[in-house]
Amino acid sequence: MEEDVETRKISSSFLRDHSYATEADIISTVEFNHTGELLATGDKGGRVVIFQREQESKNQPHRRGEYNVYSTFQSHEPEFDYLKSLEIEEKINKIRWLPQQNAAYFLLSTNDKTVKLWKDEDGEWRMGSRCLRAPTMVEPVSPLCRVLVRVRWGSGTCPWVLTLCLSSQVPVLRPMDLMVEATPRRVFANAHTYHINSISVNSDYETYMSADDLRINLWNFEITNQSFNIVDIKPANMEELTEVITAAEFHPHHCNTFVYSSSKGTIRLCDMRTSALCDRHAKFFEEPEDPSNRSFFSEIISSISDVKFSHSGRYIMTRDYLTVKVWDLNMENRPIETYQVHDYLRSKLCSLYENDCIFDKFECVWNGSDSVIMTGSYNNFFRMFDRNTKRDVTLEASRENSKPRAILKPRKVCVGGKRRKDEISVDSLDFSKKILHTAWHPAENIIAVAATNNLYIFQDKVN
Amino acid sequence: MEEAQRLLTVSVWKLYRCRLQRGGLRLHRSLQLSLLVRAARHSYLTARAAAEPGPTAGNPLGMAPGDPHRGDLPRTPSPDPRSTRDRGDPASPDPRSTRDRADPASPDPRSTRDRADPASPDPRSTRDGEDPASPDPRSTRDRADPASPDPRSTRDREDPASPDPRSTQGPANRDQPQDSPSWYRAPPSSPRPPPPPRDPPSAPSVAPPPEPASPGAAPVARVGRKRRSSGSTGPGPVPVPSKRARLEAEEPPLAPGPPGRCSGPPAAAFAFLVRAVGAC
Repeated sequence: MEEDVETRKISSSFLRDHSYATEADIISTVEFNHTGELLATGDKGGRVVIFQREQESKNQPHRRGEYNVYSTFQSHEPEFDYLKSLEIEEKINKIRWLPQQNAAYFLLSTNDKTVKLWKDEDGEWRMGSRCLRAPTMVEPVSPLCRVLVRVRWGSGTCPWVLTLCLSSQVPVLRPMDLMVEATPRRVFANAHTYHINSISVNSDYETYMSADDLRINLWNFEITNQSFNIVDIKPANMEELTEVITAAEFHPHHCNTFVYSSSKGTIRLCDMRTSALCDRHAKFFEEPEDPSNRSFFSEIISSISDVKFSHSGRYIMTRDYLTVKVWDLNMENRPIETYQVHDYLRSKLCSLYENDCIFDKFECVWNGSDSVIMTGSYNNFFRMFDRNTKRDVTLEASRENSKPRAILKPRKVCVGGKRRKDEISVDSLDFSKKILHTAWHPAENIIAVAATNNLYIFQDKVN
Repeated sequence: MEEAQRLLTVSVWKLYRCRLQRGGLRLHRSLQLSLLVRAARHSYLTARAAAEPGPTAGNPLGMAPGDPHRGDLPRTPSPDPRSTRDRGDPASPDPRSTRDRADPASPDPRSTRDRADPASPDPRSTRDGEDPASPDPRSTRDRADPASPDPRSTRDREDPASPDPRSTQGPANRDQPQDSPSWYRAPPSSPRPPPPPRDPPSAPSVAPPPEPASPGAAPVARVGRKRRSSGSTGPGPVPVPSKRARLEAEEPPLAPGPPGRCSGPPAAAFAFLVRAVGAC
């Protein structure tokens, strides 16, 4: 793949010290919208950055479809739950776009407790009834003269506004600094006791669900003070707790069907038509554990960190710590495909447990045609698996090894024996550099890879 | 055996650090750690029992006769040494609580201390399941709420425009570590009912927890004065130390070092580990 553009994150300009600002810049979620025109990223500081793809220009063919910063706003702020004496992190856990039905863009963003719906009209992330961006402004003409000037806001124009002229200069247009001040259109709060790990928009475009460790709630976009609990796995006695919900997603076409994964490595498919409370699953996907691989860490590495429906709706992809599995909805006893992401780490589980890397939650994505799947790994590696040809490739997202518009070179990890020149040994892997979040353009071969606080966008080479 | 011991030490410290991290206790992480602790403890105890075919061979826990925790052995023996303390409950991630349940008469001051700490973000709170005989506590809880036409709806009774996560009327209060059952929707100003004891399902749950008796001290009735838990009048009103301070003052923490460097007898070390696990 050809590296088309490398986008740096906007540095923190909020009230934080240096060390905290670095962690606040860590990207926590990446998501393309349904057309691929916009790319949203959320970070640990509660900010959302929207990138927009440029229109292709004949004058600059080399800048084909580059993504540039479109908008930035603070989605969530740190909060404090006085009742529990707990701090609520502002980290954005998930972003989900709503399908575009008119000129406006909608997206959902969530932290551990609160889901918010944001709306973009005319290129401005709306703050209630006020416009947000004023990239240009007309300066006054003569001193102490009240004139009506037309203020240009973004791509549109506001009505005539009255300004007080204070200078004698000829009015000139000058770009203003981007000002973003936002309040969400909807705030869905006070419905989750535990930490929200997933949100998913239903195919009916009227409802969505939010999942925490023990419950899943169904919301209507227009109603913020009420939600329906559709899954509750909390035991009567919390000491009998054996598993938690790790991810949930609606079926892409059937508005009554959704799946959720658990920390035990199981996936449950539920049908909301059977009962209001979907504690009983319609299908239960579980693969028997291999007793030869049993260890102290078996339960930890079997925990599913992400679950994704294919675009066709027929397959489910799950990611646990070492593998990616593809399941057919029609077969529950085992996955149809299993891909080893970094099996060389199986012998390093003890060390990974001590440095907490074993708890990392990797995501996985499908390409637009469901023929290739992608997931991240350590050392800023990410892997792609072609389901048809059964080939796989390991690539690295690194500025040191990649030049603009250079073709990425496949990487390989040496698991033992003699190490070749272009290989890297397992012991040399940098476990602090991890790619947890990736996204794939819904139609084209454009991928977004989040490496700590850097966002890489790669595009397929076009002759 | 050494690996299990090291894993236990590391795990306990991870559990302790989980409480200090920003955002509060992570249920998933805590569950994973507790499962690993259980597995490591089982492995350690099994290896120790197999390695020491001596007087403690009959004791699956490998404890000395004078061990203060010896009295916590359950009544129902089982091949799984862990389940002997859990009373056949293999799914319990908290060995401390099962030990309490196994012997409600044991002098465990922690039980009263824990319940006196309403702000403890303990996801293992049993206050939601106060009626073990109920086939579906969740349904009874929901049906007991006449204010909500749909028992499963999480209605926000506060100002909808106010995104206040600190609402005391929201549905999240169902899981608050309150003393009362979760379906008891008392107004904020009402006094809290007394905490229920952690008894097994077969034991009567109406009696309050027994007072922890200090060895050699007989409870003395004081007319007109509030009887202290230790049975003595005490020097007077003193500030109550925090739960963390009390635990830290009881035993020194074990440094996560290579196996074999645990200080003190293994039984005492495990006692601390188990207690630390329960403290999280």
